[in-house]
Amino acid sequence: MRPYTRAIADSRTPSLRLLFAGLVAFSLAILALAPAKAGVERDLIAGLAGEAEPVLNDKSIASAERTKKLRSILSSVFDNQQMAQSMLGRYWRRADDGQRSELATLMKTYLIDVYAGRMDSIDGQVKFEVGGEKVIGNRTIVDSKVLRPGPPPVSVVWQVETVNSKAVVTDIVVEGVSLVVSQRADFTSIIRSQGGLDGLIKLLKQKVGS
Amino acid sequence: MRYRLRKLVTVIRSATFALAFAGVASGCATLPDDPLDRADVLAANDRFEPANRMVFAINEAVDFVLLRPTAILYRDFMPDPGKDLVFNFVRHFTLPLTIVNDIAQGEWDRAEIASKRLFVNSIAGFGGVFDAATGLGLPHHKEDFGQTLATYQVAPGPYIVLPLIGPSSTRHAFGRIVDFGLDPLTYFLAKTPAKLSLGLRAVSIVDQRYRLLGPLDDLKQNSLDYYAAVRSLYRQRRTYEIRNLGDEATPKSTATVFETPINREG
Repeated sequence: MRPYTRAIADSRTPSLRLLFAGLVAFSLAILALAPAKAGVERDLIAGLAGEAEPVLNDKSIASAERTKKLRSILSSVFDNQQMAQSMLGRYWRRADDGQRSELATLMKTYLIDVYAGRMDSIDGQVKFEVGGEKVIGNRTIVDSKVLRPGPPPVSVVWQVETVNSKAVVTDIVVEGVSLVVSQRADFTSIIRSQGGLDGLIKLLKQKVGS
Repeated sequence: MRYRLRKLVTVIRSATFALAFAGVASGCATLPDDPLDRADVLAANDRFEPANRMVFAINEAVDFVLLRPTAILYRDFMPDPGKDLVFNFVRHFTLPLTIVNDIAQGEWDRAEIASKRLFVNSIAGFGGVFDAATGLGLPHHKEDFGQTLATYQVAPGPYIVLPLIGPSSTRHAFGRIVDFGLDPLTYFLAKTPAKLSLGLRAVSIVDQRYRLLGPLDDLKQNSLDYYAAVRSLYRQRRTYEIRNLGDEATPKSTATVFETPINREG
């Protein structure tokens, strides 16, 4: 054992003992704070599930009204710019300010439409089960399952990150299929084959408008 | 005999050479100078894209006139309990091949689960139409030779769309051929009338297409380039299956999905 380690372990010197105690207290404080901080991410998903479940299961609401409600629930959990940026990757850096703001708005509307439609098309009584969470770097992964009577449960994994000091959903993986990876493949193909970013903007406008 | 064999070897050799040459030639021809574009081409790993798009379009046409309408009829006219029986039955017959590949991968626990499942459902499930095994802690899973190659670090190779079969990687396509010889069912069905094996295959295709009705209609409606969307979906699902994340036979944390990039495999 090296001398300074022994000094800490023995804690004979008052200043070292104080330092040691301080270190212990500090690490305990971090341990205590970590789960509390991580809880925000899980709460975001649990909140989303809690809000969406009654809307989906209330068959008295008209379809258009339900889609509207789902849209408003979903729009609070994404960050426009962050989503567009991660889906366009390198092309985002090439885009000018006008293209950026247009893409961010269009993509958000497009994604929320798609997801509201997807949630709406689930048949029968739906139950969301929010599972555990895991922190990987600056991302928090929240596990969940969509349960319906009959078919096997569907695994939905959420990636939550802090963007502009707010916890937002940055990816959704349904049975191994990632929203960001899929959209990136789709958008990249359009950018490459149909007139760059402007081509993509044009197509998205058609899609959102329809 | 010897002459024939030599001729066969020559044919294979020249075919391999032609394929390799075509691969190199088209690979060189399509790789752009711009680094940004080049990275996209490499990520898509689709050097046969023009040919693939053509086969994809033909497959789409066949699907539109034949497979999808059949699947819709099946959805509307087959009662739900009947669909469950068909689903169980079709899955049951994939187990022998799964066991062979589990063993080839050195996955003894999974081979054991699949073997027990085959035994239990053959008897208590009346030849596989009922699923008694899942309740006994023997969940279903599926393996093929393409997945076995993946576990031995064989690269997926470029994306190819096979006529009628659909999205595939070169590795997966090669695996399909090997699977035909590897599947104990092939030899079992060889002794029965051809109608039986064709019937089983047809039922399996209808069942699969029925299960894909929702996802594929959704993808078609919600994508800008359906071809690229299917390519991405195929790769992601395939990676998920290779890592055994989609089945209950080896429980894993779903968070592992995020630990490695999933868009580079297939």
